[in-house]
Amino acid sequence: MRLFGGKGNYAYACARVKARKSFLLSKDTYSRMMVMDIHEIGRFLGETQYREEMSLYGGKYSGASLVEVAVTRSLASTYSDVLAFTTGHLREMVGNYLRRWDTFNVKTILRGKVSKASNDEIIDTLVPAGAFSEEYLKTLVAMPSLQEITDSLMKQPALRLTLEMQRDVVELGKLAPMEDHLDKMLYYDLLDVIEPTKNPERLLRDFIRREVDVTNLKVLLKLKAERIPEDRIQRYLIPGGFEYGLDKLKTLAQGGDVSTIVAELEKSSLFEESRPALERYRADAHMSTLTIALDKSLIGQSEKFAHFYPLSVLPIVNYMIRKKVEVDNIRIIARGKESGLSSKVIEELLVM
Amino acid sequence: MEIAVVGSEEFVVGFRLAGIRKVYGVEPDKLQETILQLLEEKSVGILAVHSKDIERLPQPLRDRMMASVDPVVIPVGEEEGDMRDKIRRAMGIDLYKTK
Amino acid sequence: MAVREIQPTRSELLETTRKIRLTKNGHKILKLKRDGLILEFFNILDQAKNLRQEIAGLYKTAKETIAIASAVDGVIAVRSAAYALTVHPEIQLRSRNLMGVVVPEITSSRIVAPLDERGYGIIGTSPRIDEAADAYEKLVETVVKAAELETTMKKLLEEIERTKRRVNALEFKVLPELEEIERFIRFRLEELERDNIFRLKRIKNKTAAKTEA
Repeated sequence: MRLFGGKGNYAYACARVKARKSFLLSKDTYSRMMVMDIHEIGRFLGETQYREEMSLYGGKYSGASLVEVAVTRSLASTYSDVLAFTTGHLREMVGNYLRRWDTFNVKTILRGKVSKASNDEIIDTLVPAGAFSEEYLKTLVAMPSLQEITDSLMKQPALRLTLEMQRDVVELGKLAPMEDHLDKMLYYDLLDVIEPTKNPERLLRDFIRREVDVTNLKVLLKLKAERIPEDRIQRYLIPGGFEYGLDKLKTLAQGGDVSTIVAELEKSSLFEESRPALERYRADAHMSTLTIALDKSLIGQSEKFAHFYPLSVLPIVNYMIRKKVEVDNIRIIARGKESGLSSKVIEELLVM
Repeated sequence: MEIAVVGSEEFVVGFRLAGIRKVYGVEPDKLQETILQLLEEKSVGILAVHSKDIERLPQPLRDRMMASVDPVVIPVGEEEGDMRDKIRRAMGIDLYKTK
Repeated sequence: MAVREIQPTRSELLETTRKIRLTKNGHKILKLKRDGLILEFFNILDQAKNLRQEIAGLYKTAKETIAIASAVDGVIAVRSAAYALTVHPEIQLRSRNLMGVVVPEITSSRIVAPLDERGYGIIGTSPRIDEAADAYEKLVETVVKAAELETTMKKLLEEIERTKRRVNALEFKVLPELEEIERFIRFRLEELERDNIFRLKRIKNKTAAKTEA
């Protein structure tokens, strides 16, 4: 599926991204933010690249909520910009990488509508960072019925929704089947659009396949922790993983419990750099300790390939990931401080 | 009947995840008003309020909340709340002491 | 009933003695009821104390998990997940009779939902959000249990207070009054008796004098 002709404007796009990278906050900024209170963090962000969003939402929100909305909006506009200045095949890859935000927004709109949240509430919860424009998303929100919204979504070829899913949503208010379908499609298409013949793209493909690994392992771990039987686990597994193909995952799902999976993970390259997290998990038995470690290790992988091919899709994806990490870190500090988490806990959550 | 939860946005946000629909995240100045409203509401069977918030309410309202049975008001928090006081008054001794 | 309005008749005395007997009986029964209520109350108090502590503990955990979910995934994502929930706890209030006190029986529809039946997708929802949902489901379940116990306690306390007041009223007001009435009637009746005897004696003396004459 080639929407745009040509290979893409690698030189231009990489130069733009390089310029933007220099605006990312440095690591020591986080340690400075750790000693600020929430108001100081707000004022500090008002002097950075988040200035515009901080003043735009300053009237409506305050405290950690203001910080969260501002950084999330900044993420959305950054991603839209990146998508806008890429062309050709490069744009196809970036667009498919950003599809996760379309999925997030579609989910939020349907969830909001099903639970009868107000339109304003839903709009404030959107992150227009994907291929669907904010205008389109707002039209969806404004539609009066689930039938009309899903009718419109059915016309989006990339989503490949089925009538059965639509019926589940409209008639039963059952969202899970459609949500899981959307999350799977995301990876199918992304892996599909990356050509494994070129070196940089093969690296990206491997990285995305590791992301599939992480996603699958998280699903497996959490379902296993709740003792959900193996036959109900299978439907949530996504094919195409790097280290863990479907067969390997099924074996894991069949045999044993969480502890056997954790034992298996110890052998995985995903945990090469996160032994301490495994130790912590043994002590606190929190599934999130484990899954946060998996996410971190994935981000670590993306740093490895960032500089191999300076004129490729890799630095662009790396920038998008770094921007996301930055936004996450700022939010972790702001929210963590507001809810009184200890500095130690906050630091463990941060991605450096 | 339903369960209702009232308090700061920070206090109530998690209750939404337990599937509760009548969740009211309000600013401190709207707290009293919202509680009075919920005490009158027919469809509310249980009203969960942050125990820290209860401490800040005027005594007559606190007494009314403690006496209310439909809805029954349950303080949620790390403190024990008003029940202890009520028992002390009725029985003449502090039965509610935790060891 | 003021003592002065009493008709000092024999039937009134019988009536008052009967009332005293009845009141003493009632007093005994009420005291039994009060003791029974207090016993029941202690029973429930223990459970309620435990539940309060349980709530405090569960709340602490729940607060931590939601803090982590809001920090790592953002309140935006947390709220979005909450929108998707299809299982909403409903509660039913029924009442039962506990030693003459109407107390509620609160049952709720299922609150703790298995992960794959909550309503949101499995693949895309963060495990932190799952953990927070778990923690709050458990907390709410305990709140419902506490609601039943604490309402029962409140009702029992009210009834204990009411019974205590009635026991005291019988003991310190009704009974003393009745006993005073009884004493008064007895006294008057005795007085009348003495009057009568005296009168009879006089009549007897008169008739004796007449016959002699």
